[in-house]
Order: sequence, then structure tokens, then C-alpha cells
Amino acid sequence: MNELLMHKEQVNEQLARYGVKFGIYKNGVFHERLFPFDPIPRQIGRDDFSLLEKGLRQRVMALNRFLSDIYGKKEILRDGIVPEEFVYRSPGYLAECEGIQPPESIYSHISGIDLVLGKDGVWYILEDNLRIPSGASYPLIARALCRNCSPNTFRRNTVQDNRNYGAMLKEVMDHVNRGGINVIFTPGRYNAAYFEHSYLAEQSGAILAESADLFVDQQVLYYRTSQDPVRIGAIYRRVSDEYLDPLCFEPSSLIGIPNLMDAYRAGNVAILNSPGNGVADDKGIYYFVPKMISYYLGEKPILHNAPTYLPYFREDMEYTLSHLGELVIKDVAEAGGYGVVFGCDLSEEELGNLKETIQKEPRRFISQSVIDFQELPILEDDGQQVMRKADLRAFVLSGKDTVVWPSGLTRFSRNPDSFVVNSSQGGGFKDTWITVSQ
Amino acid sequence: MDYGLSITKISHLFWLGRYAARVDATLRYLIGWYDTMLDGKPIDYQGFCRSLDIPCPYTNPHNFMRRYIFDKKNPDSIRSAAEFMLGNGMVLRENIGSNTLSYLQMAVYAMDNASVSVNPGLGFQRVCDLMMAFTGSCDVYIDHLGIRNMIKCGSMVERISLYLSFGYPDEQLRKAVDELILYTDHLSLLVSMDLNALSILQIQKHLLDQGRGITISRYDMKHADESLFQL
Repeated sequence: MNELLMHKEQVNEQLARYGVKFGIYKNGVFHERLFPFDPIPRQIGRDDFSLLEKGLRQRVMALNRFLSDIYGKKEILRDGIVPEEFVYRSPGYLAECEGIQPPESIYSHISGIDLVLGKDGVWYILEDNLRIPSGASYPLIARALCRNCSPNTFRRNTVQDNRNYGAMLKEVMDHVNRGGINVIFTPGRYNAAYFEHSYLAEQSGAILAESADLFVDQQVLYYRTSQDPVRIGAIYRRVSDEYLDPLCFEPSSLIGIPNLMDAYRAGNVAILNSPGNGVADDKGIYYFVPKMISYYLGEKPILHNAPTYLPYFREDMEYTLSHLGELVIKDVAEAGGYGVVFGCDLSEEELGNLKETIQKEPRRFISQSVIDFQELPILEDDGQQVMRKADLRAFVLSGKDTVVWPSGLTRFSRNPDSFVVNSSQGGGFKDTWITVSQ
Repeated sequence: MDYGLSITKISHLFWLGRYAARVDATLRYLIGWYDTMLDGKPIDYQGFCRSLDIPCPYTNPHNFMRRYIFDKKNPDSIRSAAEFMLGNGMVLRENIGSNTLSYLQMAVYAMDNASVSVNPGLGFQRVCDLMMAFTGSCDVYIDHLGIRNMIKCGSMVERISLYLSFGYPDEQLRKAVDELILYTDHLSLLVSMDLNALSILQIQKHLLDQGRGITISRYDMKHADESLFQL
């Protein structure tokens, strides 16, 4: 491992060479930055990972069933497992998707599940991302570059290869493809995750396209070329639901494809991930995922949620208000590390204001016990190692089978006092190794 | 196997070729000026700007060399051309490949390094080396003939334009026009072309082949060259 650390500078040079960047808008201006990489990988033993794999597959299978149910028969609502209000008032619920059966009944093809490892050695799920989870490209390219910079490290450590992500993605796209080419649909060059869009297109052999390159005719989606249009069978969209089709959702969207939803509804194209998935990764719905697992699969949840309270329920409201200073409060409508408040960071006055807001809008918030999660070592520029909070985004791909990518994006906070690891908040990333004992 | 490409991508390929050639050709041209300036000899930077039809806000030769080459905020600078080159390349990653793209990224870094170096000439050499590596990588590693030739068409259009502006000898111009016509003949991508402009270039090439000079003004020749592709 020390050898890899000695090559930190070379790895960073390589990352710069390949333009491994992410974008961020500050005051309306687009800035592109190299994504800070730490060469010390998170290591997960094969046995631990097997358990994680089982739990993640179970969770994603239940979430896919939930989505199929919500936009179909709604049995989980009828049976009172999930209150209707949590579904119909969720900003992620799209009435326009009612009754649509996606190809192969898969809704969440690429799921990004955020976990942390507690100091008690237990993995806790923090969040499900079923819309357009990003981040797989970073450990994917970092692994290739680290192997190049420090081959001995990989001779001496048996690490499960993660460089098959592009092939896995292609398999998923091919499985749901309705006839035609695979396309990755990007909002464009100035999107925060543009590097990822272009790199995954290269790795999966899909065509990277923007809205101007795509059109729908007679309920069929086409790629517009200088010659004949080419039919598209699967579109891995990296555009949010609301901007996807201006004739169905936000009419002012300039980055969408008019009538895409018509082609989708007619079953002529697979959209990865399906529109409307936001209803299942809503922070409020998160509370009910263990119940979904029991309901749909008849199994006990393998992975744990962080202890969560819904102020919507009277008991939980009372608990939240009386323990506000110890809890983390999350606005269910926010993402990317925004809308997260730690009670312990607030003044008395701020706590009072927050209490008032929660009482006024109980559905808008969840509260969670602060999990004391394990820190990981980070190599500083001066060569010292320091400990920082880190999470793991695991990627679960659902195609013919539901499989977990044997790696993941480990994000860490660069601020010693912060739990927030998002890149948009200044965090960095590590590779995630699944190690096999020799 | 060649597949169709969107007009947007074809346009990016063309402009990638143009900007890459601009960075390479103008830098090579100005490397000589650096040497000239060491002996305190004058350089005609105003004439240079006139020939390229760009504004000349530069106050003296040193100011010109600094700002025309390195200034990121100057839209006419070589550094800006390098940024546009990279911008066009970035949206073509899956078409040209990450390895080929990486030479463009490195060329931009090399320009920035040269700007703070005491011997920028060496930095320019590095940029030009990387531009050659990019060209070689396009030749060897891009299987799609249409993609390759579109980049080359862009590159030759730019070179012809610059050669005409800089008053390069006819022989060099003949070779460049020769190549451009060859690439247009083998362009598998369907692109809208100005046939009048193509005819002018073909006739001039024929005359140059016969050892005769260009029969129209360099301005008209440049116009024909730059309006050949309707992108």
C-alpha cells in the first residue's frame, strides 16, 4: 500500500491528464474542478461485501417492486403499509407515469445506495438514489490509473477487478433495449457530471447525445444523423425527470426531448432510470423501505436504515422536537448534501425556528440519529495521514439479474468537523477495493 | 464499421480539427519570433494581426507575445484556441477515445506551464509535440474513417487559411490544398459543402500542380477555403 501512496502525485497527474473533473455552479457561474482523489482505498473484505451484496440486492429488488406497485395496482397503499400521503405528496411522484409498464418491468436500472459503516461495525443505509445516481466513473478510471502508476500494489494485493462497469452497463441497456442503438442522454457540456456521461458512453459503447441530436417521430425515438435517422432502443438519461420532455413535464425545458414520454408509453424505448422513480428515493419513503422488503419479498431486511423519525407521526414528532439538538434534520425535497442540518450546530434561536417549521410542515422533514460512523485515513499533501468521515455509494445494476458492482464510490469530507461528503460541498473520493484473502 | 453522426458532433469534429491546427501552426510560426526578439530585432505584430483580421490592442512586441499567446481572457489568443480545441474534444470522448483526448488536455496544461516558464520556447515545443501526438493518435486509434477525415478536413481548412495569411510559399499551400481535397473525396460522413468553394480549390490545386501560382487573390482563396464546409 505504501508504494501506491508514494505515487500519489503521479496518480493525480494521470487524473488531470484524463480530465477527471466535476462541475459546480457558484453564483450562476460554471466552474470545473479536478475531483480530489485520495489514494488510500477503502477496503472491504470479500465476506463483508458478500453480506452487503445480499442486502443491497434485496433492497433494490424491493424498491423496484414498490415502483411497479405504485404506478400499477397500489397494493402497498391499500394494505396501509405506506400512507398515501407520502406517495402522492412526494415531489418525485409523477402522475404522468401512472399505468406505464417499463420494459422488463425494471424501474431502477442503476441504483446508487449510500451507506456508512458505523463504529459498531454495522453498515447503515443513509439514502437510496434511484433517479440518476452519479459517481461510478470516478473509481472506475481511478483504478485503471492506480494500476498503471503502482503495478506492484496490485501484484501484492488481491483486489476484485472493477473495470467491468461499462460492460455491466451495456448488458443492462441491451437487456431492456426495444430495438435500436443505446444512447446516453446528457444535458450537455456544462453539467456537473459531464465527465461521467462521456466516460460511461466510451466505456459502454453507447452514443452520447444531447437533446438537439434526438427526436421522436410516430412514437419512436431517433438519433438525428447527417444521414438517415437511427432508431434508439434504450436511452440512459442523465437529465432530471422534470426536464425530460417539455410536452409532458416542465414546458420551458430546453434540454428535453419533445414526446419522449409518448415513445416510452408506447413501449418503443426503454428509459434508464424510469421517470417517476423519485417517489421511491424520497427521504420520507426511506423510512418505509424495511417494511417494503418484508411486504414484497417476505424477507427480513439484511441492511439497516439509520434510526429515522417521521414528524408526520405524532410520536416521532414529539421525539424529534424533544431531541432536536441531537438529531440530524433532512429536508426531503433536497439532495446533494443540501437541506441537511445538524441540531448540535444550531443556536437556541435557530433550534426554535426549526421546531416551528417542522411543526408547520411535518411532511417536509425527517430526523435521524447521528450515526457515529467510522472515519477513514486520508493522505494530506504534507504526507501526514488524517482521519475523515467517509461514506460509500454502492452501485446496483438491474437487468437480467440484479447485481452489485464490486467496488463503489467512497466519498470523504475534507473538513475535519464535517459529516457532509458530497463533491458539491468540497468532498473528495477514494477507490473502493473488494479484497480477497490470499 | 462507420456509423452516422449527428450534425452537432460533425461540427465539433470539424472545429476540433480547426482549433488544433490553429494552436499548432500559430505556435510554430511564433517560436521563430521569440528567437528574433532575443537579438532585439523588431517583429511585425501589427501586420500579423492585420493578416489574421483580428484586433491589435497590443502595446509592444513583448505585450503581444504575452497576450496573444497566453492570455486566457483574450478570445483571439492561442490559449483561447487551445481551450476551444479542448472544449470540442471533450464532447467527443466516446468518438475519439479518452487516450486521444488526453493529448489535448495535456497540451492545455503545457501551455499554462509555458506561460510561467523562463524558457517558454521549450514549453511551446512540448505543446507542438503533444499536438503531433494527438494527430498520430487520431490516425492510429480512431477506426471510424468519417471521424478521422472530418478532423483532418477541419485541420487542413485552418492550415490553408493560416498559410494564406502568413504568406507561406506556394509549395506548402499546394500540399495543404492537395490534402484537403483528398480528405473531402474520402469523407464518408454526409456534410453540406459549398460546391463553388470546392471548385475554386480544385482549380487552384490544378494550377499549383502545374507549377503555376494562384490565379485569384489570396483573400478570395481564403474565403473559398473557409466557406467550404457549411458547419
